[in-house]
Amino acid sequence: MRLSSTTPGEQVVIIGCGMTGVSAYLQLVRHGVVRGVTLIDPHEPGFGPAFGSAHVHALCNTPAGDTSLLPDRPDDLCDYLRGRGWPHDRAAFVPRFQAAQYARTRFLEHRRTAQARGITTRHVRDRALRVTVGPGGGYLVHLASGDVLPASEVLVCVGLGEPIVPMLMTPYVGHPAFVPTPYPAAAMLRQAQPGGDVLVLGSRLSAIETALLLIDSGRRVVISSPSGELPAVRTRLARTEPAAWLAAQLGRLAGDLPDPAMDRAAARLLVRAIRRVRPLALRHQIVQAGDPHERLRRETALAETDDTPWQDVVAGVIDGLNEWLPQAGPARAAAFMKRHRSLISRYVSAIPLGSARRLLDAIDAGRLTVRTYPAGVEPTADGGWTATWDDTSRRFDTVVAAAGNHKRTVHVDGDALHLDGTPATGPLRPAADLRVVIRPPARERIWLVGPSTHGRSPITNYLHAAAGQAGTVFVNFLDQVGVSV
Amino acid sequence: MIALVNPVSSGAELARAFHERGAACVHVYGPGVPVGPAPAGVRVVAYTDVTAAARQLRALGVSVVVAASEFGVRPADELARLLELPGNDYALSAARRDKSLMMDRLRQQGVRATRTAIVRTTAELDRALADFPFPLVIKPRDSAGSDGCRVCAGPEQARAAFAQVIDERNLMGRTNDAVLVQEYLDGPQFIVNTVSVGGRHTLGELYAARIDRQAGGAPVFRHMISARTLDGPDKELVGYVFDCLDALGVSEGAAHTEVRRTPDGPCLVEVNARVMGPCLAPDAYFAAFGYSHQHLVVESMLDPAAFALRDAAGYGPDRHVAKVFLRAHRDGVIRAAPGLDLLRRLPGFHSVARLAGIGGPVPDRLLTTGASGIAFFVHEDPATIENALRVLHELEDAGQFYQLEPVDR
Repeated sequence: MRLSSTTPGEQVVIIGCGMTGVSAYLQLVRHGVVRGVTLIDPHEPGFGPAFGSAHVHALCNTPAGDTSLLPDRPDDLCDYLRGRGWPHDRAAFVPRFQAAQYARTRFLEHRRTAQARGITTRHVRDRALRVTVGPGGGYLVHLASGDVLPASEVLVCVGLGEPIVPMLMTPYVGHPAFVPTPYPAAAMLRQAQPGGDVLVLGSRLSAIETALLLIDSGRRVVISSPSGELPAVRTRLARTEPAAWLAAQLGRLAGDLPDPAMDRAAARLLVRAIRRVRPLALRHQIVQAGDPHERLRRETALAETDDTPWQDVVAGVIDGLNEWLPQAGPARAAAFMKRHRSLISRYVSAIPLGSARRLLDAIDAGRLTVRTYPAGVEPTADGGWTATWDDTSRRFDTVVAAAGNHKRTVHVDGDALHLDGTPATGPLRPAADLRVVIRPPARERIWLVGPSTHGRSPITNYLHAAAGQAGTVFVNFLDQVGVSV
Repeated sequence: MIALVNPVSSGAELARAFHERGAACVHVYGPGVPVGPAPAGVRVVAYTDVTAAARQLRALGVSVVVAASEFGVRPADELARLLELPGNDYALSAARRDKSLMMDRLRQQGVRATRTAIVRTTAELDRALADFPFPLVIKPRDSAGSDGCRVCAGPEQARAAFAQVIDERNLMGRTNDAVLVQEYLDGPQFIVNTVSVGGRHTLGELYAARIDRQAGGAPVFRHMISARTLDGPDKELVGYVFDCLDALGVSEGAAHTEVRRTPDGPCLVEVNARVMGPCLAPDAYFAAFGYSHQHLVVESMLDPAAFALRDAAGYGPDRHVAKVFLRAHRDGVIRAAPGLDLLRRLPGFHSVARLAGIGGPVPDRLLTTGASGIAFFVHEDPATIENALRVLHELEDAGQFYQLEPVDR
C-alpha cells in the first residue's frame, strides 16, 4: 500500500534551510525514520543570508565550539575546520563563511546518506506563505509561486524577518544613497560612495561589522544608535562549569515570582556565577557607561588582560533564561527581557577582541566616531545627506541601516499557520514541545524551531539553542512514529 | 604529420597534448611570433614566406594543419589551402578573425548578430555614436584578453575609450588602426568550447562567466563555472553557437565562442577558431569533464572512433570546474600573497597556476590574460563553488589576496 502524506515520516517539509533547517535535516537523516524530506528556501540549503557574508572579517556571534549543527556533537564545526586545515580555537569566533561552508558540507554529506538509505531529498527554491490542514489529516504548504506541497510533518525553521529601517530613514527607502540593509556586504560596499563618509545606523554587531568593512575599504564612518553605546568586549564564549551552574539555577527559579523578585534572583545568581569563574569585583571587570570611545578602550584593555570573567557565564545566561522565562508566561517574560534588553544585548552579543582592536585603530586614525542617533537626516542637493545632532551637523555621502532584523512573527488564523504578515494577536507561542496548536486540543505535527520560537524562548537567534530545539523536536518525532530513543 | 601553427599561449598546452600521445608533429612559427620550446626531436619551422613554408611542410608529409593559438588562425587557414588539406572554409578566413566581418557574415546568413561599426577617426566615431543607443561597447578591431574593451554609458566616455586605444599597440603586438563600436548585449555571458570534424560540431564545455565592470567601464573577467547538464535555454544557446560556426565556415578543429544570453535570445560576442585561452592546465578540466579542450582536439584527430562515441554519448560531465582570474585590487608592486592559504582551504579548491611573482609589478590587472594567476575549483555542487568564489573575490577586492607595497602619499 502506498503511504499517503498523512503517514508519519512520509513527507517531512522543512521550511527555511539556513543553519536551523540544516540542523533539523541532519537529525532526521541520521536516524533514518523518514521516507522523504522537502526543503523549502529561496537560497541553497546552508547558504542562507544569516551566514551569507563572505568577508573574512565578518565573524560568527558564537564561538566555533558553540556552533554545531548537531547537539550531541558540540565540536562538529571544530572537526570540520580541523579537517580543512583552518587554524581555530573552539572558544574563538570564526568567519561566518566558514560556518556556512560547514553547513553546506554537512548537508551534502547527509544528502548522500539519505540517498543511500532510500530517503528522498528535494529542495524547492521558493518561499512558504502558510500551512493549512489537508483534507486527509496531513498538511498543505502553500508557496509564493502558487504551488502547494503535501506534508506529513512540517518543521518551521525560518530565520529572522525583514531588515529594520530606522524611523528617521523610512521616508527615504529607495534613495540611491541609502542602503537599507548591510547584506550582502559586497552589494552594500558597491552602493556606498568610495572614499566617502558613511553614517551607519545601529551599534550592535552587524553595525560594527559593517563599519569595519567600510573603514577597511577606505571610507570614514559614524556609528549611530539610540543609546550611542557599543557592546562590551570579549575574547570567547565558552561553555564553562559556572555557565552550566547558572543555567541550572536559573532554570530552577519559580515562574511566578513578582517582577522585582525575578530581577533580584537573576542578578544574585549572575553575580554568584561570575564569582565562581573568578572572584574579581564587578567594578574591576565592567566599565560604567560614559564616553563610548573611552569605554571601548578600557573594555578592550580588560579583555586583553583576561579580566573579563563575566564572559564565561554568558552561555549560562542564554540557556538559563530560555529555560526559566517560558515558565513566567509570555507577557512577563517579554517584560523581563524589555527591562534588561540593553544589558543582555550588550554582554550576550559582545564584540570579539580582534574587532574591538580594529575599531580602536579606526577611532585613533580619525576614521570612526560613535554617536547617538541624530535628531534628523535630510537629503542634500548633491545626492548625499546632512545629519543633525543637538550640537553639530555633518554631511554624509551614504547612510547604511544596520539596525538588525525584525523577528518573524508566525501566527495561526483559522485553520492555517501563517508565516508572514502581521498578526493581531502577537507572536505565536508554541507548546512546550514546540508544536503549533491550530485545532486545540489536537496535537499538530507542525513544530517551530529556532528564531520563530521567540514567543516561547527569549533568546532564539543562537544556533546552540536552535540545534537543541531541533533535537527536542526530533525526539518528539521519534515518539510519534513509535521509535524509542 | 600534424603541423601546429604558432603554438604559443594555450597552444603550448595543445602541443603538449599531441606530444603526450606520441603524435608526429611539426611546430610552425609565422613571421614575428617568437619560437617557443619543443620536445627533442620535434621539427620546428619558422617562416617568413608562407609559400616556402608550405613546400617544407609538404615535404615533411604534413596531413593536418592546426591553428595552435589566436596568432595561428589565419596562417593555418593559408597553409591548409596551399597544402590542399581539410580545414575551415578559406573564403571565410577573414570573417573568423575580424569581428566586424564576423557580424556581417552572420547577418548575411540570417543568424542574429551584434550590431557593429568600424571607426578610424573621431569624426567617424561621432557619426557612429549618433546611430547607437547607450550603453555601447568600444574595443580594438583586432585584439584579445579584454584589451582596450570598454562599456561606455555616454558619448564622452566613448570618445575617451576611443582615444585610449586608437593607434596604440595592442595585446597581439599590432597597432590599433581601427576601433569597433558595438551594441551592448545585456545579459549573462557564456563560453562554449567545441571541436568540429567534417562540419559536425561537438560540445566540449559550457561555462557561465562572471564579468564585473570597473568604474571606467572596463569589463573585468572574474571567473567562469562549467555546467553539468543542459537545460532548455542552454540547448538554445549551444544550437545558436553551432549556427554561428556554420555561418563562419568552422568545420574542423577547436573553437572557443563567447556569447551573451539577452532577453531576445543568444547573441554572439565572438568566435575564436582555436582552443580556449589563457592557461589550459589540463588536470582541473580532467577532474571535472574527464578531458580538456585540447585533449578533445587531439582525440578527434588521433582516435576518431573514440571521439565519435563521445559525441554520440552527449554532454554530461560529472563535476563542475571553475576557472578564476586572480586579481590585485590596485596596481603596484606585489609584496606577498597572504590570501593563498585561504584560497587553498576553500571547499572545491583544485589548483593554482601562473601566480604573479613576488617583488614584481601587478601584471595585467584588468585583462583576461591570467598573468596575475589562475585558480581552479572542482566540485559536484555548484553552490559550494559559488560560495567559495564569493569569499575569494571579496578577499581580492579588499586587497587581502595580494599584499602590495604601500603607495607613497
